Amino acid sequence: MTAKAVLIGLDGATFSILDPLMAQGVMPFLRSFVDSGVRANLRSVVPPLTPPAWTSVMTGRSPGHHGIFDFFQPAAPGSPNLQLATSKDIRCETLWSIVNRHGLRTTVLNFPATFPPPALDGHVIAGWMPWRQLRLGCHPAELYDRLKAQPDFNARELAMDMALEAKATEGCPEDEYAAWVELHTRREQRWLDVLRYLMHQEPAELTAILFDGPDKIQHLCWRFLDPALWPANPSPGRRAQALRELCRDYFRQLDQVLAEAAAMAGAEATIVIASDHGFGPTTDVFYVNTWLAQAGYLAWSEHAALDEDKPATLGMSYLARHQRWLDWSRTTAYASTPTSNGIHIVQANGGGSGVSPDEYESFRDELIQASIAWSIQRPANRSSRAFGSGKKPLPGRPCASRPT
Amino acid sequence: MPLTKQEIAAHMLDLLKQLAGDWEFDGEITMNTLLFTELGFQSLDAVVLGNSLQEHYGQVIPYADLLADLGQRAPHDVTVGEWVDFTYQHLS
Repeated sequence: MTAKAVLIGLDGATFSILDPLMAQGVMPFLRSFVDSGVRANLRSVVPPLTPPAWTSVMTGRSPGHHGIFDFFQPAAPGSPNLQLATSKDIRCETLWSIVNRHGLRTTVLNFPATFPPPALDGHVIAGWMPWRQLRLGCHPAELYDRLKAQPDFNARELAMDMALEAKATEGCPEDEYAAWVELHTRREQRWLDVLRYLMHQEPAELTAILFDGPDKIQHLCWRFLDPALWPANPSPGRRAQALRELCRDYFRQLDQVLAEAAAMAGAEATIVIASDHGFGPTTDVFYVNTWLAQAGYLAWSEHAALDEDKPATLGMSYLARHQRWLDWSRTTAYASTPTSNGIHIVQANGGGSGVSPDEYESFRDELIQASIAWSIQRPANRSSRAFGSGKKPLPGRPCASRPT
Repeated sequence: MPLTKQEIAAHMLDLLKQLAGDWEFDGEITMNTLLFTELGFQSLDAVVLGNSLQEHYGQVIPYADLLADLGQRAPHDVTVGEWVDFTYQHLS
């Protein structure tokens, strides 16, 4: 049986990179696909981040409605403790569930917020899983053993090793860039192997797969890909040239992956290729918690000074760091993770320190005004162009995970 | 009927042994095994393990509190037995 619809996600893919690659013949399949179909610029969500954006693709709803705002979220309302944003936190019906409800099967591969894997009529391998526990992200449970029996199955390359993943956000020495790009070239092949196996052995009416390499490679290697940043004169050095070619090789092979996926779907299939958010160069960095401390909203604990010898990284491998580093008796506002894209107000529900419920609105307005004032004082700095309340850009129901 | 600590321990050990087989860990796993130092866990592994156990038991268990507590102690690690104790305490 031929799949009737295929959704292919390309995490972080953007036409500012893809258009030149298509024009230069690096991605001939994508070029013909676009030429023979319909294309449109992506309007992402607020915040424009992988988990909320893909959950919007899965549900057709905005983050304020579906409830996923970040990779992590408060363990309980008002709690500084974090837990993984999971499939259980999605508050809207998903595309996969709708397909099942109409008596059709689905295969869902590598999408965020699909762990624990929902008990769909079909097959699921959750995305953003640590490789040691990929088995726990598979539905039905025996799927992992079936995949493990396949030649070339490699969980470590298929899923994530967080010690390596941290490179995407925290950076790494430039001599590790090549291995990073090559890993993702192999990873897409691993996912194609799984896709091929399931499309042949367990065909479904809707097959969805997410390739996350564009995002991961662009995090480290944007300057080698963006035509606007690639200097014509003087000519870049040999190492930069080699890295640029390696990145282009990744996209060349990704194009072949897309072509095979489309071929397996068949000529009659409806194929959608989607992205979740845009990408661009970093022009400046705004340290939200430092600004909050300078403005008197956040106080560091003694542990922050004691830990100063630790690497000055974003801390993706040390998620509980803010709990230890903040003096909660004197902190009223903070950003919890490097990806939280929002400020949380510490609420004194039931007494204690923090902002009382009757002061909440005025405190939030004060915080917004202070951030706008900071931004106006620094017109050259583009970090703070759009501060606002969580209510306006995040319509929907209040919940613990929603930034203030 | 409430689960006994022995039942929780048995499930935890079975789960860890099954997972360890996937990464070809050939050491012995006991109640004294350290998740991070000996099994090579990273923070996300602990988070996912917690979510899986919540799913298995059908109940919210505040593993985020346990992981936050790990950040306060040295070494930042937890034994299988401590994980079982925490689970038992919050399932009771």
